[in-house]
Amino acid sequence: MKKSIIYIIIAGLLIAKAGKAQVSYDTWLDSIQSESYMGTEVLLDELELTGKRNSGEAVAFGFYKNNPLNSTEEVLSRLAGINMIRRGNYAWEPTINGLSSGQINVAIDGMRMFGACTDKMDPVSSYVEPNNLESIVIEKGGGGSAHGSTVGGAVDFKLKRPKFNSALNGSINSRFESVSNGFSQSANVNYGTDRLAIRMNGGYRNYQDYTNGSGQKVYHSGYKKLNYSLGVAYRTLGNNLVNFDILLDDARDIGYPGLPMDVAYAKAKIGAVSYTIFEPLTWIKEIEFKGYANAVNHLMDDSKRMDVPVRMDMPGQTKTYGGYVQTSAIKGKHAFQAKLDGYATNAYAEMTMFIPNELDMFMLTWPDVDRQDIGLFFSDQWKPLDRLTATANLRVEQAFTQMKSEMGQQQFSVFGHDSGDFKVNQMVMNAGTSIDYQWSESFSTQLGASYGERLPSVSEMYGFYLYNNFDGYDYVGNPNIKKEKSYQLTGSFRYKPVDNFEINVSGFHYWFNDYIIGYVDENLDAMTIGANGTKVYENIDGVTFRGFDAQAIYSPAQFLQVLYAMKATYASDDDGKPLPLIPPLKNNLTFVGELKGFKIQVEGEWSIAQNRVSENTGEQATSAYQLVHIRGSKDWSWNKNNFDLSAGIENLFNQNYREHLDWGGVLRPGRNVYASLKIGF
Amino acid sequence: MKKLHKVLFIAILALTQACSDDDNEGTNPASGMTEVASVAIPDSDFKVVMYIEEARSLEVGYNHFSLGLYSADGEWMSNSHLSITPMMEMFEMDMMHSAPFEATVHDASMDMLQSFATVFVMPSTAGDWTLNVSVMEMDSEFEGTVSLPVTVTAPELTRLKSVTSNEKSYFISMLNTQDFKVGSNDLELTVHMRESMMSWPAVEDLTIEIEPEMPAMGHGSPNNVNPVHDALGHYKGTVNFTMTGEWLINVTIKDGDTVLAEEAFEVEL
Repeated sequence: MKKSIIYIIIAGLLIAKAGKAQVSYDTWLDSIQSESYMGTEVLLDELELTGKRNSGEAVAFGFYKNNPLNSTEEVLSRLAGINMIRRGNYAWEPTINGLSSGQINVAIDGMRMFGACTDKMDPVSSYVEPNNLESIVIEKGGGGSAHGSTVGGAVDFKLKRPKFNSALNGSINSRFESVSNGFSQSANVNYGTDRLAIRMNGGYRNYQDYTNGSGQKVYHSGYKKLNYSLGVAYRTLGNNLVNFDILLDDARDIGYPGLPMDVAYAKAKIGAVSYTIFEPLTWIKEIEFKGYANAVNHLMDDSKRMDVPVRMDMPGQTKTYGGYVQTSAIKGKHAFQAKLDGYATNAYAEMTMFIPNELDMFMLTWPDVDRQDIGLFFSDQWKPLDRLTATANLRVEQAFTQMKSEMGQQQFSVFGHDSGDFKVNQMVMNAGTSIDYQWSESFSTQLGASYGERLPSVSEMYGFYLYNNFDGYDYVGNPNIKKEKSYQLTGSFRYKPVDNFEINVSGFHYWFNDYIIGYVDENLDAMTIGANGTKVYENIDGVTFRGFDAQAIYSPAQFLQVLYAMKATYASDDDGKPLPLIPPLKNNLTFVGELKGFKIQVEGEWSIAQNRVSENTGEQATSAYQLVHIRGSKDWSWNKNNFDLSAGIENLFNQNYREHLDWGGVLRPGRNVYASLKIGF
Repeated sequence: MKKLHKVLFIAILALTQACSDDDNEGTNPASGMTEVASVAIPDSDFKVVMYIEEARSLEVGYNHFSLGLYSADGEWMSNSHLSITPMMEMFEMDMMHSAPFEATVHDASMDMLQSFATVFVMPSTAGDWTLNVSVMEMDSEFEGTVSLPVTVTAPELTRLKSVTSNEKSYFISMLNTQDFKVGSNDLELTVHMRESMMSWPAVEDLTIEIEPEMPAMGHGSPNNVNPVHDALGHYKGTVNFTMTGEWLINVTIKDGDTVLAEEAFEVEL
């Protein structure tokens, strides 16, 4: 017990420190330890980023997390390299350096999970609530990831852990926002003895249609959501740890103004059990065994829409089972991490269209597709000198994908595919290496090179006439699609000449071969009424992504901090033509002042216009915008309870704007006054 | 090694043969089919029985059926040959006409009934259909004729289209539409011409184009194959359906550059 407390304290100090100075050998050792459960448990009360590859991001994140009550998505959208695709007010989908969806992995506590919506309305991030998150781990690029093969990186949402040795405590949190008449309520309770700890968390949100900057109501933008979870931790006599998690998410009547349909319900059930052994040998820090299962049920329908040519129901579901064993070890100047993981997932989705007095029209949009996958990950961080850290990662993964439905196979026979195309074996490999060098106390650099491959998604292989409202095309999968491959170079530097000023800049260049993209097939009619045509997924060579991000932090006085951040991505196909859904250059300038427990924050957010649009997808240009947000908060204690009151105005000048990744030309909320109160006991 | 395979193969063949022989002993070669008509041949111990595939009925359009010669007590006379002429006597018109038909030569060794096909061009509500059957029984050297009355109904979705072009009437049938399912389907059409009331030959040198369409949604389906002539006025191609529901198969029939017919067949999946 004593030992774990020491861990916690050390880790606490180090994580707090990690953002401030490039790590020395000792801190490096401890930062590795801090990744263990014991280390992070007590420390991270609010959202925290584990910036594995770029400590500069950790700084930015730590900065934003202090914002009073930003949602997960709002915090994510401010991070370097991250942009959010938005189809409505709900469930934004993260992109990393312009890469999204099947190109990145999104995991919850290391669990693989897949959205059940064929139109990507339910990215995995929609099934977690910020008040239930301990940290978000972001990995960029394809250089070998513990969370699965990828070309773009990974986002892992770490769930909050129950605390040991803690008297019954908890908090209640209420928030109101004016722009959508939205209320959210959440509460959590924690209780822990020396051996057993329990945490319960529940939240409910009810948001109505919001109003945009020109005073118009954006119809079909409201939603309701209920989320609850239970976490139990038990420490065995041998000081090993058993963890048990259950998480249920139930969202209803979710409007999608950027789409022709809404979602009647989106439900997720997640369960996991893990067992962690600490220091089985002196040089092995821990071994974790984990098993999990999750199921997502999703129903898209258009029952709330007027004037639809046909009524449609599109239910979808995914089920995933998986497990892994992972271990981290330190031997001499090497820190190793190894993980063996596997999962089996099934995706099934169908579509029924109804016309009065006619036969129902039915088809399978994900025709009962199974994937079994097993992967091995290995990483070595080597610190030969105090000022030098070299990292090498390797991941090998083997996947078997199979379309099981006979009707689905018949559907695909119309494209000339036969049984050989319905069972596919693929092996993917990721490898990456990077070198960090501390040139002086104030200057350090990082260089990385990697190679990444990723598996095609279910939709890319076996999706059947999936309508994409972004470009107005139906998409048909290609069972013969090849894995996507990417060669990547990254570099960054960090300059901290004085204690109160620091700058981080990083850039990347990715080359893709067999990039997976939908191309128009003139022979195929559109299935969806009003669609422009049909695209089939194909592999193309010569795609490039490049971009950079920069953050500067300046603290002119004890009570004042200034953060400036910018990010940009530029992506072209082999003809030099722009790819769709690439955000333009975006800037944030934030001032935070703190005096006597009273915090005030003024944020300016502006984006240049995106006129570099993908013409063949019919993408529309996006105008520049400038926004100002003001937020304030105050916390105090009274009668053994803690109170935290925040209030603010987002989009102070009621600007009429949209971001480039927003679907359907839907404008974002106008001026929004919010207030929230958190009571801790 | 090769020899061994051969021996094995023959052994297995013999075994399965033996099994199937056992199964078939004393059974009707019409098993699995539905009897639709049975008429005794006058002045003989024989009767002619007509069978169609289970769960089907005789409908306007192209129909497969089988005929068998049986003794009065139900024994199949395998060593026989039958031939047909379909006839229709139209109500309220003193008129008889035939219809397109196909017949196979009976091979008694096949242990199968003799199969036929007729394109019934009208339903029985417009007149009485009969099959005039001529019978030859080789063992007893019996010859005779009999008329089989049959009932032809109009299916809910028509599978026969008739058009008149250049004062000639053409009859276009689409086969096996009941078997259509989502995916890729074999499509078979027959085209016959009415030369006279009694002569309805197959038309063999036409060009046929098809285009499936889902009218409610305004889309078609990809990779269809236009039917080309196979034999006896049968044209074979491929039709694809991407979902269930109500489809139209638009058919354009050309004789050289002349469009003989543009018709749409309704199909429900």
